[in-house]
This record gives sequence, structure tokens and C-alpha cells, in this order.
Amino acid sequence: MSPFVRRLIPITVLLSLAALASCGDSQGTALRSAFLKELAGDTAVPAYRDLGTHTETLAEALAALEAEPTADALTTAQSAWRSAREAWMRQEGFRLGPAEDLHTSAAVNQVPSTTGIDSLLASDMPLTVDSVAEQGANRKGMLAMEYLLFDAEGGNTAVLSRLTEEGNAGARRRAYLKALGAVLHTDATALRSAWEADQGNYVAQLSNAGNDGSTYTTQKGAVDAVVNRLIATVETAEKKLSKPLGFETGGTVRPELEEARRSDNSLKDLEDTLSGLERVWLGPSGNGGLSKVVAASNKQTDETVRGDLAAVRSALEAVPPPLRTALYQHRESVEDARAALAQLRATLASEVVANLGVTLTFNDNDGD
Amino acid sequence: MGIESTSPLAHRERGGGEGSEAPGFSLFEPVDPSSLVAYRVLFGLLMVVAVARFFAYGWIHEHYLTPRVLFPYAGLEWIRPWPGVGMYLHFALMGLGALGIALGVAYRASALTFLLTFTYAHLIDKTYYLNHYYFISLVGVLLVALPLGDASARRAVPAWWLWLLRAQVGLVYFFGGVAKLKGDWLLHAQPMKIWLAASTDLPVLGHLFEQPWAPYAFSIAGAVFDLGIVPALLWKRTRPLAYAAVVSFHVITRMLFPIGMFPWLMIAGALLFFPPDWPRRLAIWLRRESPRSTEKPSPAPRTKRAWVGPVLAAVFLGVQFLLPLRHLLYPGELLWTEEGFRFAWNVMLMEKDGVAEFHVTEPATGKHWRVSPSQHLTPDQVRMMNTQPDMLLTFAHYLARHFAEQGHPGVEVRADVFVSLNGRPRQRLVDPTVDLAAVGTWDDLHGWVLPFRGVAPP
Repeated sequence: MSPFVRRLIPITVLLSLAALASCGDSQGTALRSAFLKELAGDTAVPAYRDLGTHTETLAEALAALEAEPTADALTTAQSAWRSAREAWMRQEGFRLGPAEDLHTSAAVNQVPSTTGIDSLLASDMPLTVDSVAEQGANRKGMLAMEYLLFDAEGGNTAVLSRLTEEGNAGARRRAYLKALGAVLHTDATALRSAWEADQGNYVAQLSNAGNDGSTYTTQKGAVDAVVNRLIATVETAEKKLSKPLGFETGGTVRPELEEARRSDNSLKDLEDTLSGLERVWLGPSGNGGLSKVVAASNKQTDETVRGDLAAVRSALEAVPPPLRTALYQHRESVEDARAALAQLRATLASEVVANLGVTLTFNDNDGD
Repeated sequence: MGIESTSPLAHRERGGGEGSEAPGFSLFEPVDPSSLVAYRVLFGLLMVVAVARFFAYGWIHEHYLTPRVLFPYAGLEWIRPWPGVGMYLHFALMGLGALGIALGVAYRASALTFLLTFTYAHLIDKTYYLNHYYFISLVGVLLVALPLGDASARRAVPAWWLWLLRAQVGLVYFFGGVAKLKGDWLLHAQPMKIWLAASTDLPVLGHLFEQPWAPYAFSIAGAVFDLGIVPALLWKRTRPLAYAAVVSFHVITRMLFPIGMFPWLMIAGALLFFPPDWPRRLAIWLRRESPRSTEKPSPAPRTKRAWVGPVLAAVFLGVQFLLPLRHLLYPGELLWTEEGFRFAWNVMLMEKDGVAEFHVTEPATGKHWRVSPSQHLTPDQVRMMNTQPDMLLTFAHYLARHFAEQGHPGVEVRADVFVSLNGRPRQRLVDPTVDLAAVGTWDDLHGWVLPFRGVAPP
């Protein structure tokens, strides 16, 4: 045997072993693949369908309120707003892809400029769907609607009185609400379409991460995006308590920094956000999700996250609603809820990130 | 790659004779300069690409213009980004320097320009410390010191020039290997387990990654590779296989990690271990010429002055040999405290992730704030700072200054910092009771960095 052939033997054996080992999906690949398929198909798509349905109901309720501004119509619209808001908050934990690409998030949930909205109402500009759609993000979306639909202190009497104000003012308020509802429904429909398999098919982008045609060139890229999104969501939730608690402003309670204070929906918002996070971690059946991927390599980390999620839920439920009164009367419970969220974020950003090898970079900067 | 023409050397230098490897070689033995010239050209071209990437990826703006806070090296706080378009001009100048190195045009000025601009830029903020940036600066020093610009016009250069660059490349591998001689790496295959498990969908290799033995095999192979590659490259019989291993190793790491130019730099550097006339022989082979036998130039006469270069080179290498060992002087786990971690070839050694929140209190008024670093820092800065004690201290000092500017002088700054090392449950990195605003930059960090609890990693 020539020396050349002798040298080829080990290389051939190694290549054969590699080829043999490359048959079929590995366990890790299969687990991540199952998780991404479940997240896209069983969690995200139903959530965006739900959002589409609820925003449609809301748009109809606001149209009815515009036509007939009665107390019942207002209550129906408020109830529809809460349902649509629940659907929106539940998708925060997996808000990937289309919601960012289409800038839906900014259009739906921006802190409103009340002075901007008031000046718009006071102007002569026609309040049609097209003209409202062109407004800046702080003049539309759910929180702009909340400004017009709710009044935590004056109650529905005060709201209805403004909606039925004599002259043009009440009618313009109602027209604005009606247009806001239509714009929101259009945005939600676009988002849903982007995910649906027979339309934008983002569901396939996420499900088939690592395969040709997917935005995610590797499964790791998709898992990284999901984990980064989880962490960002928890951080945002934490801030929704930190800000009104005054943690960023010297410790004095700042009730005006509570996000959904007019509807007293802030605590419900956080609970719905938590439901979305639980969906990502545990899956829609409660027995899947990212939990399965993490548990395969480190059961302890999975158990820590499960414990943290449960602790956040208990802490939120322990805050006597509404938040605007709890901030003063039960401040400790609000601080506990905020601490529970901080605990969850610490677990995600340290142990989960470490065990999944997640890149916390927000760009493609080089490493070592 | 264009190989610059030089006058032919003795057959021993060019062909079968492995002049520089023969026993009893002298530092002053004349060797063919063509491999040094090839390295100079390759390095220059790689640096042109490196600079172009800074422009293309928007890193100049992101790294130097966006941050409101910087993490300077202690004592080098005066190194700051230039205002306006200054940093763009700075990088343009760096690119011109790199091009000058590659082309051999105004060589010394080009090399010096590149060295100064590159090193300055990468000393601005610790966030962007990378081992290969350190390597580039060190090679930059050697390129300035060695007159490689006109080397192609010389028949021969002293052997120590070649050995100096070989040693520079070799040090990276050697200390990279020494750094891996740790329990986590060798006994627990961490962080290799984590890294391989995250990439099991890679074609062909991904399936191997999932075998239970794979992380151990890769960890041990990585350490053996780093420690053994230099001798294997030096020995003629193992050199081709060793070079193939260098290429494979760096290509695989490139597939697994976003490590930019590092793999290509090392693949180019390993070429220095081939006989010094390899580019000339390659050129002859490509031109289908027959090798010409020429007379070997005589060694230059030894003078005392001739020893200045080798002595300075020995000092240069000696410092580099000691720097990676300085951590032995410090108590505590190196990967935890990171005291003596930089400038020590701790390359791709750990998976360390953390989260930090700062508490600012004003004793005079009782006011208190909780500060999320992301309110002040870029995402890159947050990620890097969260696990590195000296950066956490810098940020605490910044907060004290910031609050003073906002009308709250004399605040106390404490931190909740949790870090997971190589997949372990998170631990507190910093003592939450210590007022970091009162800790000096040069103070012993063991007064405020908590000791590492060495539980086994997963």
C-alpha cells in the first residue's frame, strides 16, 4: 500500500463517520424545530387571528358609538377595547418579525400626546380613516382610544358628556374614535396577514429557521431572537411598575406615568403580558415551549424560570387593583411585583442566555 | 496575491534545504525575505478589509459616536473619540495606512499611521476589546520596527526577523492553550457543551456536535491544538497536516462564532512557519519555471549594534510572556473577577452572561433611584459591562457624576449584579452593600467583588 493511500484511510474513516452521523435530525435540532413550529403555528398565528377578531369587534363597537352615543354603546366599546388590548398584550412576549417590520407596535401602543389629540380635535381637519392613519403614532392606537373612551376619575358620565358635547366637539370626538378603530383593525389585519401561511407566511420563516428561504439562517438565530424578545418584554413590564413607583425619579410616586391609568387596565395588561410569556415558555399545552429545549440540557434552569413565572403571577395577583390606588395604599405589593419581574429578567438574561448560548448582541459586531 | 520579485537565494533556502530549521541556526543567518513580504502584504490587505467593515457595518458611528458613556482604560481616559467627522477621517487614515503596508508604499509612515490610528481607536472603550485587536496592534509594532517595506529588494534578511513574527503568532496559540487548562474546559467541557448544543443544525458537523462525547473531544482537541500547533508547524514532517488543521480549526470557529477577521489573520500568520522562500517557490511553480540554484549570501558581520534588534525583540516578547501570567498575582477566579483577563489571550474561553441594576441614593434627602444601564449605555456596552467588574465600577462613577450634574451631589451608588458563568446558576458578582461611588479605580476589587462559589457547571 502506498504511503498516500495509507494516509487517506483515516480521513476516509472520519468522513464516513461524519456522513453516518449526519443522517436524520439530531435531538437538539428536533427540539428547537418543534418549539419554533409550535411557537409560530400554535401560539403566534392564533394570537394574531384573535387580535384581528377583537379589533374588528372594537371597530364595529366604535362605529356604533359614533352613530348612537349611549351609555350602553360606550360600555360595549370599552369592553371591546379591553378584549382587543388583552389580545395585544398577550402577543408582546413573541412580538417578532412583522410587528416590527410593519411598525405596528408603535402605531398600536404608543404613549399618547393628549395635547396633540386635543389640538387635532379642535382643528377643522376631517377625521376620516385616511387622515387619522397618517397621524403620528402618539395620536393613534389603543392608548389614544383609551384617552377618549375612559376617565378613571369622572367615570362614564364624564366620558359620555364629552362624546355628546354640543356643537361639533362631541361629533368630532366620536368620528375620531371611529376612525381610530378602523385604523387599528387595518393594522391588526395586516399583521395577521403577514403571519398567515397563505399570505405573508411569516409562520414558515420562524418554523423553518435554519432552512433555505427563512429569514433566520440558523435555528440559533431564531432562538436568540425569541429569548431576546422575552427579556425585552419583561424589562418593559418592569418599567411599567418602576416608573409610577418613582424608581426613576427619586422615589416619589408618579401616577401620571402609569400606562393604562385611564382605564385602570395596567395590572390586567401585565397579567396578559405574563400569559404571553408563559405561552412562549410552556407552550399552548403547558407541556412544551422553550421549556423543553432548556430542560433537555439543564432541568434546573427550566425549573427556575417556571418558579419565577409563577412568582410573578402571584405577585401581580397580590396587588389590590387598581394600580393607581395601590401605588399609594399598597406600595409594598407593587414593589414586590416589580421585584418578581426583575427576578425573572435576571434568570432569563443570565442562566437561560448562558445555557442556550444566546447572543445578546443587538448587532453583528465581532466577538473574540 | 502578488509576490514581489527579489533576487534568488541559495537552493538550500529556496528548496529542499530548510535553512531556518537546520540545527544550529543563527539569529543572524540570512533568510529569504519573501515569506515576510507575503505576510506583510496579506496583513495589509486583511486590515484594509477590516477597516472597510467598520465603514460598511456602521461601527464607527455605533462604537464611537453613539455612546454617551465610555469605558476607558485606567490612566488612558484622555483617549477619546474625535468630534464631528473626526472618527471617519481617523478610520480613513487607518485604511490608507493598511493599504500602504500592503503595497509597500511609504512603508514606515504607513505602518506607523496604521499602528497609531488602530491602537488609539481600540483603546477608546473597553467594550470593544478583542484579543485579535490586541494582536493586530502588536503586529503593527513589529511592522513599524522591521523594515519590511524594502525587504523585497533585499537578497536576505536576518533570521530573527522571521522568528520574531513567528513567535508573535506562536504566543497567541500557546497562551490560548494555557488558558484552556482549566477544570471547566477540560473536565466539564464547558462552555463547549453550550456552544455546540446551540449549533446542532449546522450541516454535517451539527450532528456530530450532539454526540455526548463531542464537547469533551472538541474541548480537549482545542487545548491540544493550541498547545501543539506551533511545534507541529515548525516540524517539517507535520507541517502540511498542521496547516490543514489551522485552516479547519479557524474555519469551524468562524462558522460557530462571529469572530470577524481573527480566523483569516491566524491562517495568514501560520504561513510564516513554512520555509521562508515558499512564496518564491510558489511563484516559480505558477510560472512553470525550473528552480535556479544561486549562491547563498554570507551572514552580515556581527557587531554589537546588530544585537540591539534581537535584544529589543526579546524584551518585547518577554513582556508579552509575562502579561498573560499576571493573573497569578491576583487572588480569586480569573474568569469571575477578570483581573488580568485582557491582553492575555483568553480567547473564546467562557460563556458569561449577566444582568445589572444600579441603586442611587442621596443621603441628604433620602431620595433614591433605580437605574437600568440601558438608559445610559448602548446594548453592546450593557452586555459587556454586566459581567466585567471594572466596567461596572466605571459606570457607577459615571452615575455619581451624572447625578451631581443633575443637582444631586454626593450620591451613593450600589449595584445588584447577577452573573451566570458557563451555565451555572447565577451568583451575585458585586457586594450590594458597597457604595461603588466611593471605591477608587485603582482600589483592590476584592473589597467589593464577591468571591466565586465554585459549584460544578452543568
